This record gives sequence, C-alpha cells and structure tokens, in this order.
Amino acid sequence: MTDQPLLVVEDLVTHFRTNRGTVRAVDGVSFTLERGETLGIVGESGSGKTVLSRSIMGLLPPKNVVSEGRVLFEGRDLSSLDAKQMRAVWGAEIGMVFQDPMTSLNPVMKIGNQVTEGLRVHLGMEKERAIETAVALLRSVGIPEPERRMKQFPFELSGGMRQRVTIAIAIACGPKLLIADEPTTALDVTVQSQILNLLQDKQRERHMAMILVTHDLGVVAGRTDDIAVMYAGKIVEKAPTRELFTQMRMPYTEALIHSIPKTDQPSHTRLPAIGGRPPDLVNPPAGCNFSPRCPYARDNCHHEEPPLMSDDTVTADHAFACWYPVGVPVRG
Amino acid sequence: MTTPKTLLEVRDLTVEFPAGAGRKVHAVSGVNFDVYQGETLGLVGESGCGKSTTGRAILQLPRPTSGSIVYNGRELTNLHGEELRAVRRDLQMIFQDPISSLNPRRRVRDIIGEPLAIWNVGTKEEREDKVRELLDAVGLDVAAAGRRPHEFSGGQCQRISIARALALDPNLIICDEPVSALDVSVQAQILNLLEDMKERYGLTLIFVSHNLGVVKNVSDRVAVMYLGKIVELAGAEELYARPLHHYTAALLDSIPVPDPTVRPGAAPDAVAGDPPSPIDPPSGCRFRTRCPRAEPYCAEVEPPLAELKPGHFVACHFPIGETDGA
Repeated sequence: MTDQPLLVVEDLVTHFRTNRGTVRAVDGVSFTLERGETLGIVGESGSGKTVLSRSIMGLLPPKNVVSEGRVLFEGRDLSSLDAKQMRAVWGAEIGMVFQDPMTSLNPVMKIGNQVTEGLRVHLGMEKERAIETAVALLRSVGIPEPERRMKQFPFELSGGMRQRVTIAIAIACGPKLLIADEPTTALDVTVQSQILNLLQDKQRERHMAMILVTHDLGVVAGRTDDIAVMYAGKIVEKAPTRELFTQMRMPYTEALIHSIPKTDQPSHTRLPAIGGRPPDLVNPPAGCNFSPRCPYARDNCHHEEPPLMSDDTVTADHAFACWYPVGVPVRG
Repeated sequence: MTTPKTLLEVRDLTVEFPAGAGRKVHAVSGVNFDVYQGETLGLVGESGCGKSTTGRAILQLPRPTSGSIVYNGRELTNLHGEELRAVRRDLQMIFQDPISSLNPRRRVRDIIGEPLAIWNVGTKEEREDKVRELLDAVGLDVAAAGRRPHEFSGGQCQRISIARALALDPNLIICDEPVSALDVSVQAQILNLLEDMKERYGLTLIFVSHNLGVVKNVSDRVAVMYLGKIVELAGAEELYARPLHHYTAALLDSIPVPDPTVRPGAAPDAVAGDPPSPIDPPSGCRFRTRCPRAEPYCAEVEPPLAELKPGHFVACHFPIGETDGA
C-alpha cells in the first residue's frame, strides 16, 4: 500500500490535568500529510503547536494527560503502540529536531557516539561502517573536519554547529518524516538561514515529508507546500502556502501576517496590532476562540463555534474556521 | 532643516570583561556615535555583538573600560555617587524580559510609583495621580494598580515596565530588546505604544534589537554592530535600501521574509560559518573571516568608520558598489 497518505492525524486531543483545571492544549486537530510534502505549523506561544508535534511523536508525559484521536503513520495507529514499539519508530521512521540544540544533545557523550547510536541500533551497522556513515553524514550537513568533530563534546561546538549535528542524527536512518520544532529559534539570523536551507536541501534530497513548527511566518513562507495556522489548540486555517498569504480567510491569519514589521515598509509605519491576548486554555471563550479579539466578530461568533471548512471562493485544499471570512462578501 | 541637537555623544566606547586566565572578552571595542534629540537610533546585530553592552554602558552599567559618553554636555564616565544618580533620572531603561524585570512581590502602583517616591516628587496624592495617568497612557486599566506582576501577561508586564520608565519624565530611554520575548500580535501593540509615548512625552530612544524588521519599523537611523564594532550607520531607509557593508547586506539577505513569492535557498548562504569569539577577535576587519569580499589587506588594517555619503558611515575597505567595476 503506497497510495495511502504518509501521516493522517484524526481528531487529536491532548489535554493536561493541572491544579488550575484542564488545559486544552490540543483540542481536536485533524490533517493529512502526503509523502515528500512539507507542512508548516504556525502559531503564537501557547497555541498548542509544540504539544501537537509531541503528541504525533508520542512524546508526552506519562501522567495527567488526556489523549484522544488517532495518529496514523502509513496506516499504523501510533497511539496504540507501546514504548518498545515506538522506539523502533523514533529515529528510524520519524526523525525530530528540537529547538534548543544544547539540551537535545547529550552533554557527556561524544558527537560521534550520538550520531552512530541510531545507525547501529536501527540499521544494525557494524561499528566501523557506522563511523564511516556518520562522518559522511556530518560532512553532508556542512560540518567542517567531521573526523575531528566526532571526538568532541557538544559544548565544544557553536549553536549552529550543534543544530547541524542534531539534523544529522535526525536524518541518519533515513526517516520518512522529519518533524522540526522551532529548529532555528535559538539561533542568530545569519545562522538561521543556513540551517533552514540545510533542512530544505535534505528534505528534497531524501524526499522526506517534513513538518516545520514555528512562531515565525517568515520561516515557513518560502519553504513549505502548506501552512496550518493554530490558535488556542485548534487549526483555524490551512492552505497552500501562497494562497494563505494572498487569500487568507481567517481574521486571525490576516492579523498575524499584517502585524509583522517588514523591512520594505517605511520607518514608523503604524502596525495593525491585534488587541487583547491569546485566551486562557483552561477557560477558553465560548464560540470561536478568536472572537473576543476579532474585529469582525458578530453575535453568533461568541456562542457558535465555526467548523474548519472550505467554500467555493478558495481551492479545495484550503480550509478555514470562520463564520465571516475576510475577503468574502457577507451572504444572507 | 535645522541641524538636530546632539543629545548624546559616544566616543571610543570600549567595554571589556575579564574572561579568566588573563584573557578578556572584547564586548565593545571603540564605538562612536551620536544620538540626536527626538530621534530613535536602532542598534542591531547578532548575539554577542555588543549591542546590549553598548546600551547599558551609556547608563554606566557597567562602567566603560575607556572612552567618553557625553550626555547633554556632561561627561558621564567620571560622574560618581549623587551626581550620577541625578543624571540617571533623565536616562531610563526598558529590558527584554518584562516579567523578571518587575519585582513579583510588589504591587503595580508601588512598582510604577517607586521612582517618584525615591525622588520625593510631589505629595503622596500627586504621585498616585501620576501613577494613574501613566497606567492610562500605556493602556492599562487603573484597577491594575492594586495587582501584582504575575497576574499580567508578558505584553502587559512590558506596559508596566514602560510606565515605570516614564515615571520621572526622562529624556532618553534605552530599550534593550523590549519586544523579543513577546508574540508578534503583542509585539505590534508594544511597538505602537513606544511610538505613541515617544510622541507624547518627547522622548529620544535607543532601540537595541536583533530583529531587523522591528528596528526598521521604529528607527530614524540604524547602527549595525558586529563583534563589538559598529560596521555601518545610516538613515533607516538608506541602510535597508542601499547597504554598503557586506555584513549588513548578508543580514538583510538572511531575514526570513513573510512572503511566499520570495524563494529562500535559491541563493547560496549569505554568509558562511558562525561569528568568531569576542575573546579573540580577528585582526584587521573583524568580519573578514566570513566576508565574501575579504582580501589579505583586510587582515592587516582595520577599516575606520568613514562617512562615505552624507550621513552614511561604513567601516569597510571594499564597500558594496564602490569597488566593483569602479
């Protein structure tokens, strides 16, 4: 079966039980990712984007978590797998790159051992071959003098170099899906563009699917096929990248795009800011989560929740959750 | 147009920190610039370039290792005790992390009112009025006065910090990455607020940030820093449209643009590698190790910051467009 999508996420729910009440971090998210496709997941802090990527990977704390829904990877339901079965998926079939390259590498283990570990465990390589492969991998992610780097510890490398190492580890076993969660947030802007270019090259070279999670629309703008915008634990708009920027329907997406200061605007351009702040996920507002901040909200927005839907003004791949979408004359 | 009044003159500012074993971190190395009354000067650069240290050294926090800082005709580097304290009324600061820069155990009215209480400004009632006026100016409800910082979001805490900085009617405010910890939707609110406050209270701002888009939005002039040096300084429009330094050009090329028609990755990496360590900066031009245009000469002689066009300063032996095909 190769015609089935690589990843299907169905009604995924991740709630955390806390002293304050239940935090609805991910609240009914569904999407499909085809082989070799790249999806950007964009949202502000607390929108649930990181919890979503961790829920897909099955990397959630063991206690006080309510999980519902299904994650089908090549037709297999990952949520039904136990820890041992998941270990065969992590690294081998789904690779992951995290935000902070310092904490995602083991500080007391040499780079070489960290890169060869997956090759030996998942691919059963002999030590010599694993070392050769690791050197080639490090070279391919742009690390100069890989033989010398293999014998060093993470603290001896710069932030950008460390992130290159975590990318080498993530792609070492040829995963079909790479999830990169804010891979460049901890890096400077010149290094950030290097790392994003590297991720894009590797994704194309290996025909991996990739989920790029970020708070920065600029990071995903030219680099993904589709973008999903998250707000308060839900996908509020999902569209082909170009269409999202030119024909956004959800007022939140519009506000997010317009509130970024751009270098081609003159100085002292007044930014269209969104009033208020993201909702408390313990007590989300009734109706549409964005309605308290939305300039277009009407009565029914405050008690009826809009579904994620498409209409005839947009392409079939474009869905949005809004009763009064922007750019569409109000009907009725 | 009349020549703007120079409010602050920074000359040969150098700040070094001990790094153990007799070595030094060269955080800021001989920086020169002026700040005009009523303008916003942006200081932009990557982490470790010395932009925050420059901002703080103006307030003598820390004391510069050498150099001169003249504010309104007074040399700050040799002021001490009461004299320095008195000058600092005029110079305020807003920090990056709005939550850790507010004392969690105090109420908002005490946080904003403390500068007034310290300087014994007006009567108690007048001080309370001033706090109310400031809360209103920064867009917070007057009822916020009785609450504590943990009850507020990051954006609201930054509004409280701004209100506190405004309490003594300062002249110059140094904003050190004031929106870096905030989400874009809240960032836009705070940037607009800073512009409003600048207008309303006639402020001069030094705006330190790593975000080129944010700096362009707020600044009249922009200085680009790299490894403790200013490499380029110009009017904001001019700098972004016609950069002369290869580092500025690389920075501008590296910004992720929120526009899907701009295809990143089509061009090769703007600059290779990481910035070198400020403990042992390269000889000559400090950018030469990553510069696409570098020649052996760049390692020998440090390029001075020279005014290539009126108001446009650059520190480069081979500035963009000046040597190619000339």
